[in-house]
Amino acid sequence: MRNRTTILFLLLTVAVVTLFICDIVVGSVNLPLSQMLGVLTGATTDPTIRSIVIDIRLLKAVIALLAGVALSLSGLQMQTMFSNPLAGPYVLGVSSGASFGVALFLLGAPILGLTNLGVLSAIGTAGAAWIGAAAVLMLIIILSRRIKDIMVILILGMMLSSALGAVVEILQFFSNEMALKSFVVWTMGSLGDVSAAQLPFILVAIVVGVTVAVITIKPLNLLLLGENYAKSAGINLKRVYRLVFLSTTLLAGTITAFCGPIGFVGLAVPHLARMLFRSADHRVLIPASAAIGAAMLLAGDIISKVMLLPINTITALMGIPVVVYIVTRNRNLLQ
Amino acid sequence: MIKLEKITVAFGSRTLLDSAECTFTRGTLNALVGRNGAGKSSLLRILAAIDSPNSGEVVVGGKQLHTIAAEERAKIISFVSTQRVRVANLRCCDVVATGRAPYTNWIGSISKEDTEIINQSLAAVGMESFADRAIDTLSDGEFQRVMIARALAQQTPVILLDEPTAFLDIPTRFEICRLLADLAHNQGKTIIFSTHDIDAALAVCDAVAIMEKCSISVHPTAEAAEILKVLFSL
Repeated sequence: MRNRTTILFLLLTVAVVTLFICDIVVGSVNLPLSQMLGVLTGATTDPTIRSIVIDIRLLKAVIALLAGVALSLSGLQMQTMFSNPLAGPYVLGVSSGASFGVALFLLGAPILGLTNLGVLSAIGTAGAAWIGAAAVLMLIIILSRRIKDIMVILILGMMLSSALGAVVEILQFFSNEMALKSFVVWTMGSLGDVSAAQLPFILVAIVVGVTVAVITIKPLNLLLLGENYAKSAGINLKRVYRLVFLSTTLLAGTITAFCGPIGFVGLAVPHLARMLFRSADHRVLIPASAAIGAAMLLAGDIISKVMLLPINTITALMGIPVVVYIVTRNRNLLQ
Repeated sequence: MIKLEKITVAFGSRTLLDSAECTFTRGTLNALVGRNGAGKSSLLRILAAIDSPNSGEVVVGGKQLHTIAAEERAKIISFVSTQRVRVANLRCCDVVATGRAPYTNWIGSISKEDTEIINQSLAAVGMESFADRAIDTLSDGEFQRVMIARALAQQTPVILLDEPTAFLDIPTRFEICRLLADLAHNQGKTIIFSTHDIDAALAVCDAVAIMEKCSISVHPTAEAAEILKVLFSL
């Protein structure tokens, strides 16, 4: 078992590194490999090539990697916390919360006549998405305290998503073309809209989010047996929920804020990790989900560059078959 | 060892316990009996500090239960519920290993000593050959035993079990009851389990706690047999 796990981690590392390099190589401008290596070693000084390789491709590959890690980990935490295989940042409405925040910011503000937000607008989009995501998660957590049946929580999450979606549509209806277009483009998801100046900000949020996720490994393992057993094993559930809440807001909230809602990664990747590693232990699942998530989004980004499609559609088409396969294969998941 | 002081438990207009008082002695095996809906499970959940009573105090080893920190409490009280867990890829030994949680580090590393305790606990319930089996492939009775092993691995002076014999066949029932009696008598543990299996309870227990009419009374087994005869018209 231990050998199998080690081999799988090695293979995954190789896959992530390979996909990362491929992601830098593939792009709309055809650059020979030698020139790219030249940029990395400093031999190529052509500013155009340098800019393509470092400012555009390398940055985008890093964002894809971070997004894959972040979305997968938040999905894993949510699935364990809600003891529900269909939980994830997307299904429970965190992404729609973020969309709602961004819609209020991009669409609502112009309607109210607040147009001159200037420099604040980039941080503002992220901030708005964060607040939206946090508000939805907070609501879900409060509801899950009062309602014992986890399926009810899931349905409420979906209803909340739809309700927020409806309000967003109302905002869209009253918006001008410019604001509307920037919002619609945001909803399609893009890994390429992040500037180098924003990267440190994202990096810090993801590192903190991942650290918190790692801290929750032991409680998450205990939560597999349900809340009662977790409590009787000495776990402070309120504290754990707060930590998972913080981690998911930082991870899914940040990525959604800067890249738009990227669906099905958080839902499908933890299942892939469980299936590949044949484990339920979060000490294995956290690094496994992070690696698989990174590989999936890097692959998604490559496909999106080759086929010129938005990343959101590709992750959906990659993730949905996984979920369908796992749910139909393993009926125990739904009992 | 465990003392109930004026415990009141109510759900809406339904009162389960009204200023109930009783004492469970250290080193005894106690059966908790009562009709359906008398509040056996609710009481066990309160004793395990999973739920809180509406009013009153539970005193464990001289300390008020709600004042004991969660991690400390997990070293004093273990709990076995009736809840069935179905998680794919989770082995029996992993489940029993969660009983070691109060003693492991922040990430839950299992030491050699822990592994030994886990194996001993599985062996105590006759499940050592199931250590590597997935938990979702077990029968209800097998699962029950694994969860008892988990409580044993937690090495607590108090063990609470909610209907631990419910899914077990008759030989296993007596086996588990005898195991619990051994633990109480040889290791000085205080064990309380709810059950509808009066025969098994009277055969092995030191005392029987009867829940009836919003109160609870603990009787030595012989005395309890007489009361139960009237109560259940045996």
